[in-house]
Amino acid sequence: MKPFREQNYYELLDLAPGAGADAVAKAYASAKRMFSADALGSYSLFDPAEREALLARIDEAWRTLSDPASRARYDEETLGLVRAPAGATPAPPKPPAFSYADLAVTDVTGAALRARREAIGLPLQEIAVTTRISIAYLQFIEEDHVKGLPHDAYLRGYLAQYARALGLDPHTVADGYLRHLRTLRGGKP
Amino acid sequence: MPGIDDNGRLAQREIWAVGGGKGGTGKTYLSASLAIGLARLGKRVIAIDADLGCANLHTALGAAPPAATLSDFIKGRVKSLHDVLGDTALPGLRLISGAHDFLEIANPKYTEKMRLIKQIQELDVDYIILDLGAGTAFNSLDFFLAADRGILTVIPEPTSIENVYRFIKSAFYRRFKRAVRHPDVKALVSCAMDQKNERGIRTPHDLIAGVEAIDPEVGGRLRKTMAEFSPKIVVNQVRSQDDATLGLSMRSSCSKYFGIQVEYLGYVEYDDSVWRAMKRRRPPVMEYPDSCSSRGAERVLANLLKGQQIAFDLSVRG
Repeated sequence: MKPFREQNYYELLDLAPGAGADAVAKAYASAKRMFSADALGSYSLFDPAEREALLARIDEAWRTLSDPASRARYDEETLGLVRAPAGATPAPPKPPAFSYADLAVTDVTGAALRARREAIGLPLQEIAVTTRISIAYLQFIEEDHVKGLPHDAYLRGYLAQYARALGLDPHTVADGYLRHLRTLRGGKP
Repeated sequence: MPGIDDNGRLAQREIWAVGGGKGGTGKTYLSASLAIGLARLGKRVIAIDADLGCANLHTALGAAPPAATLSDFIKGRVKSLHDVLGDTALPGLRLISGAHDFLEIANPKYTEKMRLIKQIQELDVDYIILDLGAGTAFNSLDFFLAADRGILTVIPEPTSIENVYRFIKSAFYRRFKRAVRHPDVKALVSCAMDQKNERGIRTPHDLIAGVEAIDPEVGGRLRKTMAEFSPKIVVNQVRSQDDATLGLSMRSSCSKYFGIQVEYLGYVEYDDSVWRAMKRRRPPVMEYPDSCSSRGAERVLANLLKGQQIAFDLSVRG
């Protein structure tokens, strides 16, 4: 057993190296919950700086393992795991992979965020619990329900937290969504 | 590991200690339930109330207050532990009760304690269950470390979790300290036990790194000690799915923070049958064998006997 600073991405997420994409997404959601500041199971162990460092490592693990290309590179270069030779056994069909490129800054919409969330199998309820944002607001964000959303000042904070739960960059998502919102309201983007 | 005794019988003589830091987390309940469960499986069991200050295992087992207790042994009024053994209503299960009298018995001298531990290890039975007291006093730590399996009970409350972590840390450092002789290393371990120590040692890993700087060979030995140290967790008073998965997050937290491999044995659901039975001074697992809590305690016992952890389907979470 190694402390988290020495753990590899699989150990950080309590995963076996061969884990499927589904298992990776679930393990990520579960790790985020386990080590959130108000989580019971890690209470009293980590000080705020250590917790932040741990959560950053977990995000880093998720970013690498959720993308098949960077995961393969990580497996090979960092862990020295050699992939089965091509043609030996057909690889199981992989679900469509996510990359930051799919969520270009100009395209942050409620639908895009929902698609991202559904792709990693994270129920909205779970984000509501970990972020303590009312599930209604999260739904309004995903539905682009302009009238239901709170004032931009609050919304920016919600968006950042929501983005973090999805393993996305909080600033990019908040900026992008607020721009999108201005377009919806009929103003200048 | 089990060997063959003089009668050609498989002598297991396994010692299980149940501790956990905070009071009221079900240490005595679990000790009694495990002891009864083993006796029902036909094992020869001795339950020992090692809570020298606040003994009440006899009550949890539904036995009368005993005539002779551990204090008679510790104070040398009787020569052998056999002289303080009492029977229970269950064949195969005997009881050594904790001290009931003087306050000072709660803190026996180190030599008295070691004599006690040595005699416990020589008892001719299959299983010995040690019910430890609350807190992280040296008594509890030493009994915990003397056991083959150390079990920690926790309830889903911050105070209990905090105490379990403190117990793990204390037990671990005490074991470290006993494993080394080098005065500089001993001093370093003492320093590490102070959470606000000047050297910035926060975790066993920091400590080992510090020890390795003094003496690489001792550092390597401590690394081995750490790999072998594997406390087991039982979550009591479980009321929700989140409570049940607490053991998983504690396991993950311990590995990430301490670098210690904790095992999650299982959980016992909260139900009223426990206090109903206790009010009647009857063991809950005997009074309500089909209750959720009794089944939970049984699963914990099964996992201990099989040397495995709880099987959890993570996909049902949430």
